[in-house]
Amino acid sequence: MHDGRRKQDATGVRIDGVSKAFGSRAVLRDCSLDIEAGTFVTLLGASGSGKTTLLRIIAGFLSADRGDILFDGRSMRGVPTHRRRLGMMFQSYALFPHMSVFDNVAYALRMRGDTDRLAARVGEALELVRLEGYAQQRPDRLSGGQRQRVAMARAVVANPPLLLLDEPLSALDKELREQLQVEIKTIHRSAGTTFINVTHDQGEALGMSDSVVVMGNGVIQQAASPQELWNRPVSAFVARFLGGSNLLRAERRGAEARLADGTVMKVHGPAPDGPVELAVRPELVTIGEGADDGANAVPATVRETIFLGEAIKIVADVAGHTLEARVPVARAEAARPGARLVLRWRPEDTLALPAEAGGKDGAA
Amino acid sequence: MTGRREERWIVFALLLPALVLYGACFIWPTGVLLSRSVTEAGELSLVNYRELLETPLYLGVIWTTLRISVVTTVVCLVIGYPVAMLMERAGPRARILLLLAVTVPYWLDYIVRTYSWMVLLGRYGFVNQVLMWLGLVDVPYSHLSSELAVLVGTIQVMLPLMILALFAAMTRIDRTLMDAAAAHGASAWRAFRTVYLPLSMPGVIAGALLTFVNTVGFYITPALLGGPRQTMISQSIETLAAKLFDWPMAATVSVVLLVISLAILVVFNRFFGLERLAGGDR
Amino acid sequence: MISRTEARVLWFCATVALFYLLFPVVVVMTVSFSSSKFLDFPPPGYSLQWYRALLDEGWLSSYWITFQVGTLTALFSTLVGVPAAFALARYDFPFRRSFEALLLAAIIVPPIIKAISLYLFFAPIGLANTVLGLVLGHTVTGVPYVVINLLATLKGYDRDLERAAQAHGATPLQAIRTVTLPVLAPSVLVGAVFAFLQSAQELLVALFLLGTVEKPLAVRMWEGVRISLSPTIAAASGTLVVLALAALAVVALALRSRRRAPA
Repeated sequence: MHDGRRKQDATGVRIDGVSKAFGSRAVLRDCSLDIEAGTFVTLLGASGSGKTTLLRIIAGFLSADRGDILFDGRSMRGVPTHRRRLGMMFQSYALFPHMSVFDNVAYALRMRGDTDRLAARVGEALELVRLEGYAQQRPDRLSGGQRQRVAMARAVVANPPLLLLDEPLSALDKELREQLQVEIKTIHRSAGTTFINVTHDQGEALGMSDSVVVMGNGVIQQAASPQELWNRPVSAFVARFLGGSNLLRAERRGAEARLADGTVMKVHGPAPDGPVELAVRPELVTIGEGADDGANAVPATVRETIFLGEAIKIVADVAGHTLEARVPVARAEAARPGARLVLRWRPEDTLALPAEAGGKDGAA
Repeated sequence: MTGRREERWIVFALLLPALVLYGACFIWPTGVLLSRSVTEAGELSLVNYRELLETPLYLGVIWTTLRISVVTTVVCLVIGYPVAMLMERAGPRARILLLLAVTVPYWLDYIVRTYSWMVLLGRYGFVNQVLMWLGLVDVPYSHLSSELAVLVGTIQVMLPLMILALFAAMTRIDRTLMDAAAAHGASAWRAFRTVYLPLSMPGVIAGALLTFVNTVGFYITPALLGGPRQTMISQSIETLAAKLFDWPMAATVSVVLLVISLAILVVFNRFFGLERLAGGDR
Repeated sequence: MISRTEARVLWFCATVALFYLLFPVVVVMTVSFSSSKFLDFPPPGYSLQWYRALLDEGWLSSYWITFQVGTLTALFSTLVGVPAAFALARYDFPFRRSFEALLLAAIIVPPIIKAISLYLFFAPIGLANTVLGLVLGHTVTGVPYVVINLLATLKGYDRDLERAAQAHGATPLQAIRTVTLPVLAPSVLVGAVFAFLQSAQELLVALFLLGTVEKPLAVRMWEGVRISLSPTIAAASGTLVVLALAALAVVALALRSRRRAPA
């Protein structure tokens, strides 16, 4: 809300070299991360990436085999979940089926013995999620969206300085999901506390967060702002997971890279010389001959076109690879299945990324 | 993983009451009983088993038991299948009504249900009145003490179990599969034969095993509705133990019954495991 | 979804089957209200004489014994079965299959074998002819019912509920007390009702372990049926029909509240 209050009420979280294995299977490998107080951070990854395990370690449901979790610089080793001052939302809502909406929300206050103005505060929390009239209902009488709103009220009613969101939106349909994304963001802005969200949905992660942590194979692959992540993925893994990019296998030498069929392109990007994957975003590809402005230009055969409303997606065969381009409808008249044309994109939009073992060509 | 040792202690503590109870009141007593069958005057001996095999009476009892159990199982299956199928396919209200109609007798004491057959099948019972009214018999006679009476009573007792086992399996069949079969040109009968029936086989097997194992060890109804010629294994054990005090022979016949029951248990456990016994929500 | 002919065939079969299933029950109920001294069906008139006879002939002690044994059996079965169900649902351990087979065996092994083996074992240690002995015998069969009913719910039980409780300030014990147990209670109740019912209706173990000193209801009915077909038995049967219906009602209510829980 105000800066003065923010410093007091938000937890800064430090993940320090955390490793965790279930039996012989390593789920987290030496993960380190600083989460600044008051930020909205999303752990993004596929199932099995370790994101949920990391969240559960932060919550105190699991303990790390090695490494530590620090809240505001204080080690959480040996501090049980109920003393970590959390709020939490779950994919399954996890509303107590034998309690009314009111009792569900009040639970977070009662368990902490914090029962001053109980009814009023529960009422305010329900108002915040626009469920004022539902206090005496049972959760099973509510829709999915309403249930998750109750869970949200329960998570925030005690003003916890740290809120954990364990894929809270993934059980909802698209429209509700987008609506709740906005509400959660709004609540984060007004509460000013730290939110740690877990999801496998790239759009949700990029749309809601101040900072996104891409996880894969138990390792933090990249932690960055959404824009940075989108424009400058550090590896083919990240680019592939964020989706949308064309990825082409190539061999880099200096500012140039050679595709398997011998086509040479000018490239930018962090990967050292050797095998690389070239990431090209479809919306940065254009059609047409054009002047020799130094752009990468390759002849292509259109395989299929797909109308997207504001643009047309063109799937084309380029030098033995499959490439996607997304061009405005007005510029795509020449694109018919079977047509031959030239696709162009700028060298600075051709990111050479360290190749992922076993990575494949084509659109991710 | 850390906590593996701790976890082992938790499991042990959770299972301890059950292990103590079953060790003391189930496994050990059954073992004591079995040991009676292979000892004669304190010495190991198979003399009881030889007597069992050489006495036509015991072999006859075993044969009768198996015969009645097989017939009961088959008839229950034939009568029960359409009921279960209707239950699964009917609308929600009809389904609840049918479930109720099957569950109430299921929960009713065996003795009560058998007693009502004694009332109906007796010399002056309702069945005779109807038969005489129809002119099918002239002189009333008792239908009791016959194999038919045993079967009529036993099948009625076992039928709900069979229906519920079938129903539980049928609810797992995807309803659209029959529509898919019809869409691809199968007649109703062929769709049933090629799709529904094979998919309901787990229920058929579970229901048949449960019905059979319950009938093999059944005591009450055969004892009340049957005569000496319908004596089943449980009855002969009871007679040997409680009336003749021939404990070694009672133990020996028990072993036969136990072996049959446990053989079915092994098959059932391999196919289904414990949870299937619940038959859904009963 | 279901064609006309199909429906007709099924309904016809079902009607015949249900008549066969229910008619005897109706007969017993009707005869129990008969004004006749004999088992006439249909009865010439109606009265409550046979229910009064229940009181006069000292059946009450049988009801009391059966109630005692049944309640204790339900209690013991719950105390033994609930932890076992937790172990089966939440932990993996060696001999798990064998333990499940043991529970299955406790239901499937014929009652006559349980009866005479327990009698042989209990007689020398003084447990034969005691209520405790019979309760132990019935608990052997009661435990699997508790386990089976709870196991289904526990497997579907969302452990995030406990996590949610702890995240919002409950200690692990508080989480179990305020969330886990209340959510599971209906299923435990259903298991306990099953354990009670099987105890109240079990004949052979009761006959061997208590039958010579006390007469639990099943034993008393058994002796009554063997000696005479007096309508008093029908009246006792009538009360058992009511018991079955009551149990069914309890179970139906419990299941309805259980369905509320997220699967």
